[in-house]
Amino acid sequence: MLDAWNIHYRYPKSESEIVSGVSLHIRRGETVGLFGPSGCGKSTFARLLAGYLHPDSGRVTLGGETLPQKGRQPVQLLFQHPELTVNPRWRAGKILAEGGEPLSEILEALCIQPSWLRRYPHELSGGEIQRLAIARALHPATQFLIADEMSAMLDAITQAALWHAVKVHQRIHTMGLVVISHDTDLLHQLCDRIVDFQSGNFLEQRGGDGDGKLRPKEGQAM
Amino acid sequence: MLEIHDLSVAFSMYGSGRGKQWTEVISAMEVSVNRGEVVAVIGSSGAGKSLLAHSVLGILPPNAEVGGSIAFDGEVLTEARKRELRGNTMALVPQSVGYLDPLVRVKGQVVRAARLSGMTRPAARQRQADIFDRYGLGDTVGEKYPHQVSGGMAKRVLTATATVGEADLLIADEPTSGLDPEAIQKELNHLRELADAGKGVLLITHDIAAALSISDRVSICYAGVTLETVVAEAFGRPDALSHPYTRGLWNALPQNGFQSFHGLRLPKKSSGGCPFASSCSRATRPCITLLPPLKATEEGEVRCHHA
Amino acid sequence: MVTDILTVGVFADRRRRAWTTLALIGGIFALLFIAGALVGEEGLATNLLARRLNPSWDHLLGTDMLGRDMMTRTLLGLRTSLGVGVAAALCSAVIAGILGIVAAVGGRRADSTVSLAVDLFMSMPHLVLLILVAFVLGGGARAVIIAVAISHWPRLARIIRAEVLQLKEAPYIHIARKLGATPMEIALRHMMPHLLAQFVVGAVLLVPHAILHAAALTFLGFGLTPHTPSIGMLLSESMRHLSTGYWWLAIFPGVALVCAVKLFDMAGNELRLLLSPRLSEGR
Repeated sequence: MLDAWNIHYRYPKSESEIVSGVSLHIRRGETVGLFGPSGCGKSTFARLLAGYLHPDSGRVTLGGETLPQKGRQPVQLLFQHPELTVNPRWRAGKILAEGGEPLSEILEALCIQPSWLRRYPHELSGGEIQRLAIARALHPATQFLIADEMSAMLDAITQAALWHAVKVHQRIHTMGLVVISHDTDLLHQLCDRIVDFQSGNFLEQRGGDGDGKLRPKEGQAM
Repeated sequence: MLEIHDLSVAFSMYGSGRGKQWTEVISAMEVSVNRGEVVAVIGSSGAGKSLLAHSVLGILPPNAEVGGSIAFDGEVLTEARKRELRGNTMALVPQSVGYLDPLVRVKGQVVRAARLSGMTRPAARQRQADIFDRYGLGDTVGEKYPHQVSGGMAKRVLTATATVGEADLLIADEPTSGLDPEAIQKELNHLRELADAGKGVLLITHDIAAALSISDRVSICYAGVTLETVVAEAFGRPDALSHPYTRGLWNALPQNGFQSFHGLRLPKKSSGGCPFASSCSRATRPCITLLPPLKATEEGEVRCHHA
Repeated sequence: MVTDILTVGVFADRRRRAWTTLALIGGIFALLFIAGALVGEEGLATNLLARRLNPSWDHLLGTDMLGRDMMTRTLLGLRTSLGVGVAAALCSAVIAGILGIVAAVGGRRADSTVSLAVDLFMSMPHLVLLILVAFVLGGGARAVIIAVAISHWPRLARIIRAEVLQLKEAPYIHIARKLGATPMEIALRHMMPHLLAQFVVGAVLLVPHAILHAAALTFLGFGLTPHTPSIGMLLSESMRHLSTGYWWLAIFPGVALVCAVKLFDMAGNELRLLLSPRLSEGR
């Protein structure tokens, strides 16, 4: 379980809290969607969940313990703009290898071709770099993946391909997945439950019997 | 109004240690925009689409080589003519606030855009005030610097810089990226209003859903090549789309089944044939060696040997 | 992505030009050293019969007031000046590198201390500081090198500090931590290549300043001794004779100095071009 307990956070120079009292509980293998207008704090919350930021109050725990300080983090975060997430002086192969030896199934699922492992980021398109970033993050040791508008900049086919690859990996390795997006249709396709970040309301939840029907629920704690 | 025929743009690039190489980023692109309509050019995020905008306006870097023809109102656009027309008859709604001068307040930049299109100073100021009113931007916004303006407002400011000069052709480069659904809808509505007022709008984007909500015609582009152009309504009818890539795009949308395209390979550009051949289930020998010509269909045009 | 292509495209042929320029400059300096070795020391001997001769085929650059061959003196002088300049620049660059990194990663206190030192040194008049240090250390090559090193490190230190501060915030550095990289691994594999580029370019661009200031010190009498010829010494000695019309005593050494400095400057700029990252940062 990845849990966020009553998180509060304010940016150092800011007057108001951007995340006020948010709690979220995610099981391994589950997919949760976070939905909300820009500026409402979803991205900040994602960083808090993944340990990039530390909450002013409240805790983030993984399996009951605080997130590890050193070593490969079991909670990985994917960003919207992939160009910023890779070292411009490194070749694609080196970038991939930083996440550990990539599994060949992942490379295949993401259509990462060996020929462009020698290229530099500036010779690759945004979609290709995002594939690298995903492959780098997907690893048997990754228990939870948080995708912050991961496919917002990509065309429909690339988006579908990448998400399918992530979902396959999720099923095999029972990975928890948090999807942050504006696209409600995308969230419907991917998520077991969708949460409106601002109000804390559930938007939809898939039935536990797996019938795929969507039922609205309101007013529950996330 | 705007006719782009067989456009190709190539760059001499430095390829890690090997010296000068020519890379064709756009080839065989075919787009036309008439007054009063919105035409969308859809392709994956990459360098190709912005270059289309830059080549129409004549603002490509010096090492770019352009082939094909671009005509405006029947007249072929030379570099000199592009210089005359841009800013007053043809305008660009750029992708991000990074295209604005970071040291000048937003109001001043819109006024300057108006002045550059030929207005006198008082007329420009008046026009800027009107435009800001129209787009719901108050005086306080005008006093801010580009980095202080929020995402949605920034897009409106960028649209203002383009529309303040009463241009006939507006090229919107990825106007919806980075915005949430409300802001996207507002921005798209603005563009539609502009088209309804008699202007021509060329919408360059990767977001099909956004494009379809306001476009009259849609041009699908893959690896810098125009594969198909159809009327927007064709997207509701399954058989109206001719090219497998177009169908793939439509089916991949989350609201349409979220289908993953099996066997999508990266495009091969060097062989001279259809760039989609390596991923296409219908590909035959001619597809690999010969680039299909554009053929007319009921809904528009398509570039496929098997259509 | 468009901006990426724009930056790469413009450099297409430029990179080859940069390599060629660097090779040429390297060649010129190599020639200089060889020529210095070949020309020998005889020209340095005083020959009172051949005083103040105009430039001629025997003495291509003429002779000075003691009959010494100016060609020999200029070549050897240039060698010495270059040697001192490069040594001083290297020392300065090393100091700058260390202090710049310390300021960026050492925490608030370290940063304040180093920044204070930078401001302090930059606010002192350059020449005054140089003369002071050289004088206190008693003159000579060692004093010159130390004086120049101490006065030139601040600018490069600031650049290095800024680079490291910026690198620290780069998203891919944070991601590297989350992927398990230790701070040492991050420093060596991510930061070092980038910093090395800045460092090398910065060091090369320091050399022109170092050479000029070393020459200035010698010219003013606080630097190298008259025993070994150096450009500063040549210029200093020629001052007395300019008004009497012996122009070649000052012009040739002066022009040689300017050319050498300009070549280093060009080399530094070409290096910067070659080593700069190809990706425009951010969007």
